[in-house]
Amino acid sequence: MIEVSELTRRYGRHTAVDQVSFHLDAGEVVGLLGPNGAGKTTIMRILAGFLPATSAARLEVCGHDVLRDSLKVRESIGYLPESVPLYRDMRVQEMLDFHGRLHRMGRSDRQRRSAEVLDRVGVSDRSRQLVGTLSRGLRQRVGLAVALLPEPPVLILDEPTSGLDPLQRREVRSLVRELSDEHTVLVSSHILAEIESMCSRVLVMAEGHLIADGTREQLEQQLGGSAGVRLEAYVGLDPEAAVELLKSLPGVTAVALGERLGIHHGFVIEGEGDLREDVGALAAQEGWALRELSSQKRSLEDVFAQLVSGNVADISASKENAPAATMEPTDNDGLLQLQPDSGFNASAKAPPAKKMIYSLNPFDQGTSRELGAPMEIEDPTGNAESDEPGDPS
Amino acid sequence: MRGTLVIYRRELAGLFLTPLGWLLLALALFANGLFLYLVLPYTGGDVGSSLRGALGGGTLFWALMVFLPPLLAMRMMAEESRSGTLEYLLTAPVSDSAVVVGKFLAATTFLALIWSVVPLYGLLFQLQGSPPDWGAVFATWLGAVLTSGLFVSLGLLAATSTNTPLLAAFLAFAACLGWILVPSFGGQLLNSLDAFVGTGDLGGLLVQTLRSSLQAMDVLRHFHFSWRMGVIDTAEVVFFCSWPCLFLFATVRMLEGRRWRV
Amino acid sequence: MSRSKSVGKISRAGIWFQVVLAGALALSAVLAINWLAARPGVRQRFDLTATGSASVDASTRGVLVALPGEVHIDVFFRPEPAPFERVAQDVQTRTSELLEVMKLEAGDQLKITRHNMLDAVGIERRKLELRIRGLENCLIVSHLAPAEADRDPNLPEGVPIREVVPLFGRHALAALDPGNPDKNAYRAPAIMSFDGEKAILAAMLKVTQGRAPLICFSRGHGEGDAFELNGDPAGFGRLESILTADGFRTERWSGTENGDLPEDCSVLAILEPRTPFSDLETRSIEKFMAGGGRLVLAAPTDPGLLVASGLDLFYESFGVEITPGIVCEPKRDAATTAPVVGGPQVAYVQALPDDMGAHPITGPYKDAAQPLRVPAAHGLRVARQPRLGLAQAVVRSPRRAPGSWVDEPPFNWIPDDHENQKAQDLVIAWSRGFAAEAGAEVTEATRADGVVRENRIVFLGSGAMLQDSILGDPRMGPFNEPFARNLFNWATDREYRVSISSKDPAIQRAPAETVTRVVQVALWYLPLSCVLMGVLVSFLRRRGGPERAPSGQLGSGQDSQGSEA
Repeated sequence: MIEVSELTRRYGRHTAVDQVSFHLDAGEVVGLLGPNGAGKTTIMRILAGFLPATSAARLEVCGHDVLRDSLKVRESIGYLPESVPLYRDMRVQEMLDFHGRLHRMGRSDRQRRSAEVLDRVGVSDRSRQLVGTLSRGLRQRVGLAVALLPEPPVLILDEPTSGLDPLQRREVRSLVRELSDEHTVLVSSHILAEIESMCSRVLVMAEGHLIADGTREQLEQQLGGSAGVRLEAYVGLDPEAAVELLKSLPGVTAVALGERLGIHHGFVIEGEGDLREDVGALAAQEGWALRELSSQKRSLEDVFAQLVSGNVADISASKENAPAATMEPTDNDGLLQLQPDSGFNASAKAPPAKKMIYSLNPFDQGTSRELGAPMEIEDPTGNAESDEPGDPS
Repeated sequence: MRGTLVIYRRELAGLFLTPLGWLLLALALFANGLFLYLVLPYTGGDVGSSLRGALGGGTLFWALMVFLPPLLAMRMMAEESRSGTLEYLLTAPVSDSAVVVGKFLAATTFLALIWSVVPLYGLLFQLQGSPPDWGAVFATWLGAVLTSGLFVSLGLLAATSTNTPLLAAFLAFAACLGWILVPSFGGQLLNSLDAFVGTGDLGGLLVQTLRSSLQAMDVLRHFHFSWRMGVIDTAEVVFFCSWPCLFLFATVRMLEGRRWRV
Repeated sequence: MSRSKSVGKISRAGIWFQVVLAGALALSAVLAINWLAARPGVRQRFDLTATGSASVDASTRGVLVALPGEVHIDVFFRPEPAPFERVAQDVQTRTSELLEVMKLEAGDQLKITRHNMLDAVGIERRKLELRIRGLENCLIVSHLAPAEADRDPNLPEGVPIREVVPLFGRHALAALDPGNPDKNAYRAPAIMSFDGEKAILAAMLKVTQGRAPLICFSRGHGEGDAFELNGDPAGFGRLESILTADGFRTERWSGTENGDLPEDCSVLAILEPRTPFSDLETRSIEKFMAGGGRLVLAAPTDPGLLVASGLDLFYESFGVEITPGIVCEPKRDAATTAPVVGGPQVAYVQALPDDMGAHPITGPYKDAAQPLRVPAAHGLRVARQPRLGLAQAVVRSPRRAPGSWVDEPPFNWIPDDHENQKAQDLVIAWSRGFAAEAGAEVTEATRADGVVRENRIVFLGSGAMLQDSILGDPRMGPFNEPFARNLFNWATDREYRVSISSKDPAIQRAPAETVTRVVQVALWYLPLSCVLMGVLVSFLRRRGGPERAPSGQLGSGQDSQGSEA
């Protein structure tokens, strides 16, 4: 349904999208994931015909060339920009009517469809209200209704959950999941969990490059494959010596010393294979008082956080030799230093490491700093949701 | 074409379903009424010349002509671009030209409605037993509408060049005002230059050419010596239609250009 | 990946070039189409005004199209002092509009210069060129005649012939009613009539035709005086002023005092003579006619005077017989529609277009379907046709039922049995070949300057047609003025003919109470109703869905939960 090949878009000297290629099959729900400024919105705008591409080998939606057959493409796309642009002085019903007219829908068609879509997004009781007086969440839903009205085969939703409260997010997510039955959906977000909950396939963008494409598992393989062991123990007074000892183990590539917790020290040992047995053996041999010994996979979140903090080159490099699963942990100190905390929380609760880290998402922290206001409400959001949305594992 | 109509309907509805449109209308009507109030005793109750004076005779008319189109253009272009609805429109299945022409027609219709109040005054006079010269009133009204179209298209062009509504309004205002003032002031400047250049030499020739080209662009003059006299002149029809076409064409190009520059 | 499908690979400069090129092309297309549309052949004007006030007369157009050379019009308009500032401005505006229309008709032959009254240097220079000392609020029409032959010998070489058209006054752009400044009987100054077209045209004719044709009014035989404006209603002062405004020169001529007619005399007007001409005078007239002279003759209205004048033979020498009776037509009373017979008003004949011949003098009346006033006219009859050419009836007595009659003295204004009910000619005109004396054939006369001229004679059965009582009475309307002008224009070979415009000079003025009412509606009711509509619309629009929660945020939260469940 969507065919993009070697798409490049420059703003002056700055290259926003650089040689990106991907394609979507009919019925697919694909997430476009990436930090702000990664080029997600640009790609979507180009696909929707709002921006022209600087160059592209192939750019097609539903078999129509985006540049040459722009009107046909626009007819077959339901595009919802991030700002949800709706005419504030129109009633919801009028807005839908207007959109229907633009799409050359007949009167009866418009009436039938607008009742349907309003019902679908759950705002049928608001059809006479002015768009300008709607709350952000309702507006988002009306925007979705507008995009859905002409039954477009392709839906392009730019950050459909931004600025919503947790309940609203959850609803939008479930709505998008439902849409996959009838539409091909390209949805963007900078929140991994959201994308995961909506899409089967994720495209990861960073600084204009497409750095990963696939299901969650594939992505983990591609991006975050390296495993590690977390050790928390009383190792005596000289933790540096313990680090040396740990390093000497076979297969260990790096050992990081965490902060001191009472008399205990935290370590993260990285290497090939499952190192827990070796580390356990070493602890037994050295007589360390073990408090925790857990296997720790480098999660997608970690990798993504790294993207946000701007280490694209590393990720890209790691992507290239992903099977080798070797990572230099030295550059993600910030991440590691936070981990002991999460460890505490996590140990009290269920073991899934991924979840624990998500709950105190360092990446969220990172983004919230960059994003400003809208993200601030996401911190509690993340916490609240961590229990519920259920990793679709 | 259909798209143009849809946009046209929506823009008109946008004007008349908000208090702003009615407020503008009220202000314009008040200004027109004020003009009538001032000019009727002045002409000794001369119905014909008062009515035609209300359309193009006074400063008030031209002030409205300079102020209203930029306001409408700002509302239709810059504000929309700022609030993001322009992105919505430009990704809807309508061509850019349909969007521009629809907006142009809507704004011109709004102004035409304002000028239609003058034939309404005529009707009032007729009911009171002093019928005006309807042919002349109609020609003048048509001229006023076409002139509005000219200024609206100019305003749209100016407003499309920027995202900031206020700047857009200011640019459009400056463009409209310039279109009116430059020919007359330029003409006066050239007149005063006459004293320094001979009639036959190169300078004189240059001044002559400049003067005649300025005259050819003088909207006031064009309006005054055809429409306001009660005459439909094909040359004036061409003038008042071709320039808006050019400006609309440029606006569409500009809109396309924005996509490249954004 | 094939490069051929690459989109938007054009460089930025290329795009800009394209854009600029397209813009330039569009701009030049617009300029070209505007230029083309303004070409005289392409341009079409449709005057929608009821009175045709936005276009010039066909006759004016004829003159403008055939201007013999460049005519300059210098506009020296400036504000008048109070209380005339408004009327002056009005006249100036209308004159500007008129000049613009004239310019469209005349094309490049007409040069209009609007002088900025602040530009003292330019004005001084132009004044020097035109040899003018002082300036009033006026137009100056000037023309530099190329051929010296046509020039007035009094003017130095290289100086254009010029004519001043003032704002108000005699032969001016408008007639002014100065109003009454007295507080008790205050009346604001007003324009009585706007005569711009006529005044400018006359000035143009004057400056382009070299020396104006001279009309001599004979005197010494009890003719009505043409040089006394305020005197007797039977005088011809108004006629004289109309003719001077039209660009003629006028003089008195008396055979006994002046001898032969002046060399440059074009037309001799003998209006209502009461005594016979002496032999000397007759010889002078014959000599004048033999030189290709033009004659306008009008018999005295009073039948007694006509009989007493003893000019029958004189008239007969031109081949005309004249009845002493008066041509009458039945009239109906305006109020009762009963026929009025037996009062002198039946002698007040209205000649309708059907009664007019297809002659240049009356052609415009036929075109405009306007009547002509022919009061107290004697019937004329062509007794003898000239050898060459044809005497033509220009105006005939009305032939519609129940028919006109010639009332013979003593007058009872009732058609008697014996009275002649046959159609009579009221005005007769000849052109070419008139024999002044039986046997002496003068076909084409050669004047001293070598210009071949033919005779033209117009015989009026009623001198009253041109009297002040008809031409000078505003209640009579402009019915006979075009006739008078055309008469002399035809007689002098001038191609210019006055057409009868249907322009209604009356301005529609609304009474004060109407003005008050309309202004009330316009100033208050209409804007206020708009404001009310705005309030109403905003109120109606604000009333959104029936169960809209007061706080949007809260409402949406609850709502979303509800829909989730």
